[in-house]
Amino acid sequence: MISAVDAFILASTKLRTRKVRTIVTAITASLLFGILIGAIFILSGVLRGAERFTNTGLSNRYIISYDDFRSGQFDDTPQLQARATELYNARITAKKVEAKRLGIEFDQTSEMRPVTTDADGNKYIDATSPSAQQAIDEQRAKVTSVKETAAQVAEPYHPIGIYSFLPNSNPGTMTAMEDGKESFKPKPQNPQQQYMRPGVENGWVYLDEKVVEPFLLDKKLLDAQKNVTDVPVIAPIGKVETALGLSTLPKDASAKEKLDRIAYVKQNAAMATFTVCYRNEASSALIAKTLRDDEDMKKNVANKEYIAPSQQYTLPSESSCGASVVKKDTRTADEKKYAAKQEEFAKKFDEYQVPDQQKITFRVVGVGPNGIDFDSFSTVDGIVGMIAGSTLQGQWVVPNTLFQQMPNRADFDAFYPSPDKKSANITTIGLTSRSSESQLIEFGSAEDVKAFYVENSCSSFECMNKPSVSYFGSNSVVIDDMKESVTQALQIAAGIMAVIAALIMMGMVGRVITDGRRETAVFRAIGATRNDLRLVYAIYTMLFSMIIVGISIMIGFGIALLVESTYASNISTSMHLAFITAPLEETFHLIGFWPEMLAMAAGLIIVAGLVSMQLPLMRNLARNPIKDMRDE
Amino acid sequence: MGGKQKVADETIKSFIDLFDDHATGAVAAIESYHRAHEQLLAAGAIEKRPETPVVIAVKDLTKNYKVGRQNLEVLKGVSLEIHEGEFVALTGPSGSGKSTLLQLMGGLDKVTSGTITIDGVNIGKLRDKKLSTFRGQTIGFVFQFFYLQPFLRLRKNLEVPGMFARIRSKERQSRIEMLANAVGLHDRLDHYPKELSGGQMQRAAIARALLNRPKLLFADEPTGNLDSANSKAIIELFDQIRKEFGTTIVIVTHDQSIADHADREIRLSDGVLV
Repeated sequence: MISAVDAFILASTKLRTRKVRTIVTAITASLLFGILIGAIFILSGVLRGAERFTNTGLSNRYIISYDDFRSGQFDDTPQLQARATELYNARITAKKVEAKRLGIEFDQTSEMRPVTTDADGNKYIDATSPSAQQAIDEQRAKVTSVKETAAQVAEPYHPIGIYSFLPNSNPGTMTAMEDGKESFKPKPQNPQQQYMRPGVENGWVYLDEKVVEPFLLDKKLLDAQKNVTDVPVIAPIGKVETALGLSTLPKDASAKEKLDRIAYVKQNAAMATFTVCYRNEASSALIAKTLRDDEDMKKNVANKEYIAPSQQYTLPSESSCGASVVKKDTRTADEKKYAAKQEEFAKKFDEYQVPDQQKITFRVVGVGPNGIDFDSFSTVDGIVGMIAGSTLQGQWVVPNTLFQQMPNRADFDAFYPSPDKKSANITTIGLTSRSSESQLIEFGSAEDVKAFYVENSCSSFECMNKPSVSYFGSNSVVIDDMKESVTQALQIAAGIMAVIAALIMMGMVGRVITDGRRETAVFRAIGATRNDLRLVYAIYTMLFSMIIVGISIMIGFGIALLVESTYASNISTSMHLAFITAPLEETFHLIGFWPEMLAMAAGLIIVAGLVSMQLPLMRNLARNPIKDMRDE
Repeated sequence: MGGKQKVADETIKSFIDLFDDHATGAVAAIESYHRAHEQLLAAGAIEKRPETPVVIAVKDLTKNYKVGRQNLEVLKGVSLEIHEGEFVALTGPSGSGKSTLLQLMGGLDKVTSGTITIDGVNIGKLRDKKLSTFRGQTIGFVFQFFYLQPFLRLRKNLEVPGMFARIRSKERQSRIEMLANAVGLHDRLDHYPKELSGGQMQRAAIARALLNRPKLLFADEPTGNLDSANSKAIIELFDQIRKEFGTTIVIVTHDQSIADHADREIRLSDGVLV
């Protein structure tokens, strides 16, 4: 059989025949493959870029959020209802005895019944009843804690850490003290904005430093704040920006301006503080009463029949976060005595709350990503944030260890949920703050976390009572999945394009082979075997395919270059906003080198060529060379 | 030929007469045959039969083609022998089957019936691969339209048969030098075919056909596309090749001057030898 070198010499001459047709076919096929290769360049750039950014933040970690709602719920069984009713009866008896002792009236109907009956006669526990709540607490105390169940469930998947995710949910109110002042009149707020871009007054979570460490400021800055009595907090970058007195950049700001802004905010974040005024329900109710009474009194200044409240309060100063104080008390001595007895009665049954308020200043110890903003969904920032952002988007996080190390830690005890005790200030009966505790389980590898997720997640209706499992800040898993999906999508696209290109090439190669019938006949006459000719045409097809590969790569690279120059700098900025932890010098490119995929595409083109060659070649070789020569 | 034919007729008549006279003696008959044969040779009525071995033996060869629904009988039982070193011209009117006969002898087409034996090998029994190899090593082909590769320099064009025969490059180069000298194209080896004249191209095609040192050279109308001067030069080249390499040459031609120049003319008409 002819040697490969000689076959190459003969094959290469064929490329010089029918030049115009060869060039047109090569360019047509290359355009198709160029799009595919361009997509490979861009997607590999995106994936590589995402990998680089995620390497620095939470996203290179494999964390699952595990929420066992069962620990915050209860089984509404007849036993529970019976126990609640028993407690209710005991409470009524105790209240009657106490009311009699104090000489005050007690209306039994004011006590909420623990069990209600609907129109069909079905009985339900009413968790808002104190007796029901007590019974529920007794039942829940027997349930394994979410921390224990998380540890048990995760054990087969080799967890490397389990952390508590504790939302602060003290049922009081927090008001942001903008410019150091508390506004007593509620400001109209866009509920969507409040949800998507919450301030710290809307709540925060306590998280282990091991989870949020990438978001913390420089260690030196943290050490300098060691003895500060402000609550340490990781705040969304947009909020820090505002706290530093910077106005939001316009949407059309350049990528450089945005990057400079991020750099400035990160460097100066330690100077940012946020102050809120916390009021428990009694304190809030007193403020509301003060405002209401003031308004009523103003309205009735001229009304002689109007009876002013016997106890009149005055609002605290806006900067004090203090309590409303009595400015006038017109009650008689008996009235005061009776009120004192009622207070004693309520205290005995945990139904009295002393008004409490507290100014809390948060000091920024870390910067996190902004929350997703519906308004900017159509912008690059919005899209990138939505795809690539971490679970901490918009979250206010108090690093648990730093919090526990505060010299005045006890001042904030009311806001820290503890498994051992209910918050002293909770009087509204309902689920305690512990019920919303989640566990974060960290795994060492994508395989482990995926295995855990696949085997423990469940989204169907039957799963409502089962633990909820979701990825937490783990974009790496998403990116892994994305890479798989992208690879699959590219393979499908490549398959479709290969078929189209193969048809085009079949036309071209087929034509070349057909055109070469006489030559085939001559070669046969001078001693070429069919296999010799197969080799010559195979090499010709490979050469032709490689030209297409070359042109396709150039076209693909050109497309990627265009996309890169148009979008890369903006996406870089968006990625910095989404992955706040990445070093600022990190840039995002839309051109990446994915050798496996490029090799696959190149191989595909060559295979498409070789496949497309087979039919015309087989036909040609089966022909009578003499007839071909005679036809010529 | 008229004078030679008369002598032949008379000699055969006297041989028959002698045979009749000595019908009782076989020896006398054989002697009389030899005498008659010598007389014929002396008169030039027949040519002396070559003493070289038969290199091509065709027996009862038929070839049919299907054209549409018609079965076209191109060759109708042709038998012939060609000896080593012979220069044979296949002549006949267009459509007589001479090119078909040449191609069948070259193993380029399958016979309908009959056998073709080349250098002792029944080529009808060879499978495609062996046939190609055999053809490459034993037969050189020259075509009317040269069929040189337009994008290969002459040197590479001459190499092509050697490529298929897997002759080493060094050996190929040495043969090319020798053949280029022989066909007078030594100074044209680095030219492309389009830079050559028709005669030069045909000489190149002949050189290419000889690269694998074939025993047989088959040429199908090799001068059909050339002017008379170039045609003459090509025929002289064939003579020279035969002398230098002892190659058996079979030419299909319409040109009677070439046929006259050949050792033997085999004439076909309507698929049979005449």
